[in-house]
Amino acid sequence: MAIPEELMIDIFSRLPAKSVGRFRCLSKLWREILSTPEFIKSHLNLQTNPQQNLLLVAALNTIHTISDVKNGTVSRKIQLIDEWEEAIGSCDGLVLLLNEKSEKILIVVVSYYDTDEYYPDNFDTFVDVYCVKKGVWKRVDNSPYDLSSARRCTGACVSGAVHWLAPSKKQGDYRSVIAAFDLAREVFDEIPVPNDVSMDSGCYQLVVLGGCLCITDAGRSLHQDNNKTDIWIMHEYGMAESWTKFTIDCGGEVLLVYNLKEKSLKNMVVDGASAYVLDGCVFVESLLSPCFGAP
Amino acid sequence: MAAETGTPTTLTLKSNDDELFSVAESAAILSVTIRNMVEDGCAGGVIPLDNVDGKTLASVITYMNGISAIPADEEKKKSYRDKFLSDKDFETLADMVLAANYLNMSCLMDAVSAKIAQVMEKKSVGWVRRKFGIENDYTPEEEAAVKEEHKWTFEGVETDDDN
Repeated sequence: MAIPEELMIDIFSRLPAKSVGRFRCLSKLWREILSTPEFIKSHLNLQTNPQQNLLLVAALNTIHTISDVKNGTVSRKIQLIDEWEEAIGSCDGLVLLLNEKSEKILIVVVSYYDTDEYYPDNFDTFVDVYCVKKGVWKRVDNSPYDLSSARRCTGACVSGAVHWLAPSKKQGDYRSVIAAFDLAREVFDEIPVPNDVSMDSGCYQLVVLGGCLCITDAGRSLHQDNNKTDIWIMHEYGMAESWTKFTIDCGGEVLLVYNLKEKSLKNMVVDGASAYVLDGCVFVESLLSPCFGAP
Repeated sequence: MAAETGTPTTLTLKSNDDELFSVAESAAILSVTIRNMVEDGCAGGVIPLDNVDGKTLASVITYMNGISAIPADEEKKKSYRDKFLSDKDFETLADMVLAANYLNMSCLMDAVSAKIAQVMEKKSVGWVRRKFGIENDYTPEEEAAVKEEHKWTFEGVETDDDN
């Protein structure tokens, strides 16, 4: 029985990244095929409903990854040489970690992982794009938004754009908007905010959940002395009417899993991880690598 | 003789081992290959399908009839496909992906390819080499090195069940 190579490549593109890694050991030819940029791209694109993995930054130079938030509580421990305190964000399988003390920024490959990393400049409002492959910074756009406050925030990366909450530079209007930096066109677009969000409090944050852009508001728990957090999900990217709001009631500093379908909340105990967690983020598996294409 | 309006047209398909199958044209044209033949007026007599054996063709026709009986409801079609493929072994799936490719049936192709990927997800390197006829051209040293490089991907691999 001989399945033609092109059909086999299509089948292999549908495997989890871990299986692809193992099957690079099949033969020299398959190692080559499963490592081409074309294969890696089609593998990323075919993951239509990729499993969301959770990453926790714990003390003592350790990060933990949890591959199945639904059933499992077993974590994989990754020992790091440096101390990383904050998971800045994740895109296409790459996770960006930050070390406050040394002001070092590093892209860490968690399984196999991406190409470009972006970071807004410190105090002015230009956007600089760092191309890992070429190892150079490029100033691409004079931003119409004041991104100085967004500097330390995670840019939420979804639908080919990085999103920040930032006020526009118009006189007298200090309300934030969602500024979306389109990575392909290298320009800013504006994403509509939900009607019931005032966008003038500093407690809003943009995150990506299940492939959708979300706004979280921890402001209620600070001002009204309760533990309620409001979350809006933009089910259809760019469509203002697709914003849906829900509220979770979380008691104190614990790791919780909220099931949106069943509207249930449960405590998450992670085996092997310390109870004290510095930060966390969600990531997907991919075959992309920050050193990809490097000599 | 022209078919009366409203009367379902039936096509006769012939497998490469000379089995004949009757199938409603409306179901058979899920295959772009067959649809093109019908549109070109080549479907008058028996349609020979030289790359598909009788066992596989019977299975494909079951699928054609099943899926075309479901109205335009992607959820229901998907659950039909899942159920249809759930009890198929690797060899059957391999025959079906070749047949679906030859018959140009993209929805069956996608479903079977995804199912094969699901079957092989946790299989060993040896299992995949045997099933796909892949020749190991690594020297023992090279193989040890490439396995060491991908060490973490060997966790949770199933024990081979085919020998």
